[in-house]
Amino acid sequence: MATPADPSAEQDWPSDWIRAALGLCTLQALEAGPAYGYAIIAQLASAGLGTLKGGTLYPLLTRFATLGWLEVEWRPGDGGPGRKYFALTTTGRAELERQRAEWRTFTTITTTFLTDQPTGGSR
Amino acid sequence: MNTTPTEKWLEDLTLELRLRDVSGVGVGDTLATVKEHLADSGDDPAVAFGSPRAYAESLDLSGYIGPVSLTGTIIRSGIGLIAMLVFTQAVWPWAAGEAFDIGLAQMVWMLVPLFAVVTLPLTLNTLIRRTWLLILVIVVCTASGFVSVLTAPRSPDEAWLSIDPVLVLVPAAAVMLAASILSTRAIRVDVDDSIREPLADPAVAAKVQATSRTSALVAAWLFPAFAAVSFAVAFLFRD
Repeated sequence: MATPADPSAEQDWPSDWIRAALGLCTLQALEAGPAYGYAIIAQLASAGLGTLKGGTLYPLLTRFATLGWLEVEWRPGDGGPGRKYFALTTTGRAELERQRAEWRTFTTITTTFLTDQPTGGSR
Repeated sequence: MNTTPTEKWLEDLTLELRLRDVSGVGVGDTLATVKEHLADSGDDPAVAFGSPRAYAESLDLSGYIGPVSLTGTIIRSGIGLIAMLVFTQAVWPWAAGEAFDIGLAQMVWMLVPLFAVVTLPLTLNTLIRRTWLLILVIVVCTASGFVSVLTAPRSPDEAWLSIDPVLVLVPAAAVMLAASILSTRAIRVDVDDSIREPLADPAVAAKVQATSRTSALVAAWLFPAFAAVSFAVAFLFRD
């Protein structure tokens, strides 16, 4: 399984693709329960999405918290600076459901389009 | 004390957040989040987060806007400084019972720091991010202040303008006091704008808050205090 410590196992996806899927995947990473920033990065990397930079993830998490999709709780760390846990709110969970359904429709349409035999352009 | 690149990056981030009027709690939360990530990942902050300016720009901290504006504080200080400089120049002729004689060259040199203060809303962000430019502006303004004193008329015949010093002292004192009162109100309105990390010891946080508030109050009243000392000295040593 790929982890942030094992970047060689990761595929280098086009940044546009990652940008499009990142918000939804971040919400998905929190569906099982609260997690802190680096744990989310590790989970996304394990899923094969590549290792995100902190400068990409935290602005997204901050925006979702402002939108009311996430709630934040600081917990003491093991001798470290403490950990900021992010958890889905009821609104966040509903948003995840909505976006996931729309994403499935979008990817189905895209995949169908990409697998169909070419019929020629309009003349 | 030597500052490590990480500490320097965090200081720059603090400044960028304060320039956006983020509250002490918001700054503390952001710094703690960055430190947590750096401790977990072992990354260099510039690699993980990019430049402090770009990172601060990317964060939506609209819920953390503080009641104290750094820009407002600096502009009030600049106005207080100009008023204090004018006051201290007019206080000596007042004590001597003479008119306040102003030379044309003196007036022009005094306009340099005034121009710098008036244009602060436009230049502040650039000056704070470029230390060398800020130092240059301070040096030029200080030098202009000295030159304005040196070019002051030595006799009433050289004066371009000759006015009753009270007409200068009273407005200068009023402006200085108004700037200080506004700064004090800003400090009082703010319950706690010292930078506080989320899991900070409440006792330490209270101490930091008290120190921060005291130093802000001292800074707010520094120019009136200096002007009062000048007034007292001029009064005691008057002819």
